[in-house]
Amino acid sequence: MADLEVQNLAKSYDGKTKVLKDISFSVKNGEFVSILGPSGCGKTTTLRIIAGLIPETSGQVLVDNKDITKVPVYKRNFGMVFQSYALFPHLSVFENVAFGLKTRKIAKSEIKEKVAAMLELTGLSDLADKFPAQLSGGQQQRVSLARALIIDPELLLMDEPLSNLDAKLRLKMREEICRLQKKMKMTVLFVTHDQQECFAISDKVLIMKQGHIDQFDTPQTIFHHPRTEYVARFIGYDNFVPVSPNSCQDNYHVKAGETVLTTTEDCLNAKVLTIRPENIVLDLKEATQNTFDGKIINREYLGQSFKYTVESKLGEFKVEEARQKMRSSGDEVTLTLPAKHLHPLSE
Amino acid sequence: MLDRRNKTLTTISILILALIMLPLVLVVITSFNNESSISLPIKGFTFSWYANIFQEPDFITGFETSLVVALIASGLALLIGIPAVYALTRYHLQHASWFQSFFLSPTLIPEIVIGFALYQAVVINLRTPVFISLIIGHFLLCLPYVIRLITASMLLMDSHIEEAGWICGCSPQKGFFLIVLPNIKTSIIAAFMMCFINSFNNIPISLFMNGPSITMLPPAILNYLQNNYDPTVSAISVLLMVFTALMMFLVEKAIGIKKITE
Repeated sequence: MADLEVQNLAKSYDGKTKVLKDISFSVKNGEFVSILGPSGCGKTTTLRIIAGLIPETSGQVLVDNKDITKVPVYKRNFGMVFQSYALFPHLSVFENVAFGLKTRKIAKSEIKEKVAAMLELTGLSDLADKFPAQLSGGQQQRVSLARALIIDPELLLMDEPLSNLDAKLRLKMREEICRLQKKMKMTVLFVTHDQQECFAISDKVLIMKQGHIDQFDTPQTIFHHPRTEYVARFIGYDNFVPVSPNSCQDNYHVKAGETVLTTTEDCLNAKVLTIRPENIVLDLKEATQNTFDGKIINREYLGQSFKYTVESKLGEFKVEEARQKMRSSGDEVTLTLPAKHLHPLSE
Repeated sequence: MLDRRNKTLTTISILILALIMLPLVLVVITSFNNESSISLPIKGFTFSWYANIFQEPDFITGFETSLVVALIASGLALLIGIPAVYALTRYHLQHASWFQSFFLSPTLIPEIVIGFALYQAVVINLRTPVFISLIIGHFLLCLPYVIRLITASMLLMDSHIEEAGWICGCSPQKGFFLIVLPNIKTSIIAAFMMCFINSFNNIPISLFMNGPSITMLPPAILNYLQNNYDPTVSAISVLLMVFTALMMFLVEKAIGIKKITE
């Protein structure tokens, strides 16, 4: 496994519109990095350029500081797992997994040994003689993973590998991928549109928006300190309070309309403040700051909690409250936005 | 679901089957007639008409030529058709649909017109040897089958499996043989079959090229029929049916085995 570095990658299919603009990031040896974004944000394009399946318009891809941008796909020593699994339908499980070794002209006895070990590792030993059409989705995905790993790739690329599986199997495969990654100390680049999935398994997450990187951080940092409104929306921040321009008084107090709000983070360049629904408190008695009146206009039952829509002078707020006592539409409440949960965003 | 014992349906099915089979059965019966005309009912039983086939040199050389032409034309159509289909389905070519229609266009033109045009242009004006012209004509006849059948299976194939092959270390050339071809094998065999049968049985194109230098089997039969109205024609028809059926059986066997392994 190896380090990956992507420098100023750009891609345009028609010479006019750029689907990728100036993508730069690096993945260290043994790191699990996810690219997260909605469909059409360029995440798969980025992955396919790194794999060598499509040419870049400009920029470089480096592996262990060697420029491989012009190296053809079949000479890059990568493994790739496709969303559709892309197993060879005419070959058995054993032959599928052995394929990469055969093209590398490795001795038959060694191939046999290595494939057997890999099938053992991925729990496929009993299925060696089956054909892809005879396997379930989860089994096919495991074969696809085994085929990618057998060549001991410098980098493992995964393009939405779990999205064709049902919810239960997805969780199981996720754990399995995690386990293999730790065990083999793989460098992984994982493309997904599922926020939960990628936060659960990644060391770092790269959030893409319309062809550029919006934030590249650890899941914890992104979760607690989203850099932009786009990222915040993507990871479940539902409430956005626009800030009056140039109203920041002393880096920690800012005006929204006529209300002064307090933050614990520097809000000098803030355009908008954001808070998660579960961090807003209703009817807090000893509240001294960031508190104002509201009225409940809608209620949703989420199982462990209720989600209320509350109307106030600062606009509508989504509030999640985990308590048994149910509030009803029309109830008057006071909202408190705890300063430590109120994040200023500059974009 | 339809009731399997639906009487009307059964009757219609049997009628249609009879309509298709009856002429063939009659040909088989008349081929054993010991009278020297194709007539029913037959008076006695003999194999002599089958023996007579081999007395007729036109039939022997005709069979050989037809076989060679059908094999070469089908082979050529595959050799040119498969890469053409690959390009049409894999690369985002400009005017791809135009090319698609162009390749299929021979089906739109009456074969007799193709035959006449080839005779006029290629044989007379360009002085191309008759055999070459014959190959060209049959190739044109075969190409649309190849394009049709193989396009269908190329579109059905997940294009990612080819990419997976490249990632595994296959060059695109090697990947074509190791991954693409095995997965369109069924339709290649089917296309070859269609080409072969159509070329082997073709009259309109072969007719124009038939002459003292080259004899094709179907025109030879037609020729024989014009001069002698005896059951030799029935006998050779039976042999051709058996020959075609045998080929179909072999192909079915080949494709059938593939299906089991899938």
